[in-house]
Amino acid sequence: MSKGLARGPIWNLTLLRLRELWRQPGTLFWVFGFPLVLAVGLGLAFPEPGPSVVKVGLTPEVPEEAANRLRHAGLSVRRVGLSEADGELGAERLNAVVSKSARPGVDFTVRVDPRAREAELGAALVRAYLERGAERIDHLVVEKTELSLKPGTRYIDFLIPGLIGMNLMTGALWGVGWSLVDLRTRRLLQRLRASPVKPIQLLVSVALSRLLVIPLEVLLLVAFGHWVFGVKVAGSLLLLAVVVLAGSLAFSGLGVLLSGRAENNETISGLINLVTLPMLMGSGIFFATSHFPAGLRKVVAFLPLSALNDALRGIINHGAALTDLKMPLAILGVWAIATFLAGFRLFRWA
Amino acid sequence: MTSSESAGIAPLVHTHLGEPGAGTRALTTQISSTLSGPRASTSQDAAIVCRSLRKVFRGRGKPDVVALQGLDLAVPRGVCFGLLGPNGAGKTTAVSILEGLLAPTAGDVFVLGERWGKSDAKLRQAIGVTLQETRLPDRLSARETLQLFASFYRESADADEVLQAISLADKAGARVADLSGGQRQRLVFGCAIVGKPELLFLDEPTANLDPNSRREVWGLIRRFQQGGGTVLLTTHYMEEAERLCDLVAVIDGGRIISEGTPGELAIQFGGEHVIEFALSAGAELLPADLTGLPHVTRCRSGERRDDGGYRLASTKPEATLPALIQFLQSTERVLGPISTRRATLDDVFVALTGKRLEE
Repeated sequence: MSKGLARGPIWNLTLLRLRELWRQPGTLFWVFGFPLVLAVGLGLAFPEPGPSVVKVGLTPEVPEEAANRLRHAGLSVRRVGLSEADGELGAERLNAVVSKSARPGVDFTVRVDPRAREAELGAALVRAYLERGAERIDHLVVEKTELSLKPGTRYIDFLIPGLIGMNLMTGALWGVGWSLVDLRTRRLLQRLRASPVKPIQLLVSVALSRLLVIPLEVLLLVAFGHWVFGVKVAGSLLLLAVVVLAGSLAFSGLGVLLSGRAENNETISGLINLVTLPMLMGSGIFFATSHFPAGLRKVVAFLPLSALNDALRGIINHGAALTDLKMPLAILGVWAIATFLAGFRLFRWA
Repeated sequence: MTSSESAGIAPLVHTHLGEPGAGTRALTTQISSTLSGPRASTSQDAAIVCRSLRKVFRGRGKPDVVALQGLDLAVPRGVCFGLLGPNGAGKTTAVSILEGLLAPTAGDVFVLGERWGKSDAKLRQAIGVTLQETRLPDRLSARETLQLFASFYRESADADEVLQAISLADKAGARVADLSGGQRQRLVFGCAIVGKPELLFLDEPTANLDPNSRREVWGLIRRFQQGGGTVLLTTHYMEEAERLCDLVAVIDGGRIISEGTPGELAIQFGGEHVIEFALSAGAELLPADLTGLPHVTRCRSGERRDDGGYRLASTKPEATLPALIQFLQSTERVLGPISTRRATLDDVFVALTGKRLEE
């Protein structure tokens, strides 16, 4: 090619996409602003829970000695009328209510709401302490010790890498897939086809314009997480860049594939939603997938977003090295290559 | 086309129609020789040659649509060739095939002596195209748009030179979204010529433009042709074809129904002059009364809905008119409004298809 890269078609088509992005404030917000808003919103909505305290209500006839024993054991204790007990239990303002037992040979009754999460715990604790008091055991039978909290185990630590992953996914699918279809509906693709531009040049430039925006997006989220929430990147930034690149390529390829035959903006929007929804739910952005059934977990592990989130959390939260990330990187690589090849074959100008 | 508009350029049309110069006659000869000559030379000499071009759009569940049924075309180099026809005639289908954007169902196409499917890269460098309804990127400036298109070609004109040529130098930094319809159409034209093409395909280059913008685009097309370029344009504006085109082909129902210089077609099918008149209410004439008048070649009645009048084609109006008036007086019919004018391509189209083009 006689022209330099700067005056060649790939770079000029890339510039076209970048200019279209910069010059549209609405898009800028969705690309850069929205993930930050999500991070703040979710960070505030799910603060780290304080140490959980079991709250016990005592009816007036329960002796103060029993109350002191429970208080001493670290439970939160207050007096409550028997008539109010059920209401307080139902609202989970109390986990257990202790009253005098009417049965002969039994000192106390512990009343719980069986639907409440802390019901069994509350009942067990109250029984343990009161029975211990009854047996007059004065030495400690069991000692309590708390694990020391490791960095990278808070909810926000989990959330920030997930948001980066989600952003890479939606950014690439909309930025590549939707943009290509938009060019097609404006008949610009047909016009480009009438010029010497080759499909591969167009697809490469659209993907390239994505890759150039990504460092900004990721840096913004990482820096924001660092300064606002103290989320630290435990591993290597270079490795983070490699994973981000692999993820972006996989989703850019998916974008090319989805755009191949979509005739209008409604079709491509539907296709993108169809593809993103399972990953939004199944790839562990907001909540860990560990509670999924084992079979399902095995399947979702092969989704590109699952692999990407795994790798991002590995690096950011746990300081993973390249050797720890072979599997997710391989999954992303296969997605990238397969979708680009299939997308290139499927691609139509008009 | 409004009447005031056509009045404004009437002298030019007359010159163009009235003096089919040596140049156009030579071209016609060249066409007949390209159509009948040996195959090897045809594809080399002409800018565009196509033979027996057919295009059938398969209707999924619906009946197939035959868009082109055996189209033959030869466009010599250096001319402006107009494909003329109403909407749905097959113009855009034909041009899309010639541009290599659509594969024909059957038939041969040679563009600049090359075939689509074999020399695409070379052809794409050598042609310029404007499509119907291409929306250029709204958020690029005029200059950026031209730089983008220039980047596609091995050899391209400087964006600022093109901006000068299309009279948009003062709008170089303006966003496409902020340009007027006429300015945008000139930019679309600029994108077509920025790659220094030999051959321009213009599909309805002035559709939906106001008369002034239309004239500006005509100027650009003419300048490109004067620089040695070949132009193939489609239009359903008669005035456009008459002002710009050296040769026109009238296309209807997917085939060419007539071909030649605008002047020749006008003479051949419309008669050289047209006499239009109406009678006062209640009076009527039989076509036979009129065709009997001297030098009248054709006659139609009641085809103009607005006046319900008559239209005569005459080769010698100065002889026909007195005879007509005398005939009307002797039969005691009262003449209403009357006018005479030169035949236009519109008359050709009405004569060929029985319908008007711009409806």
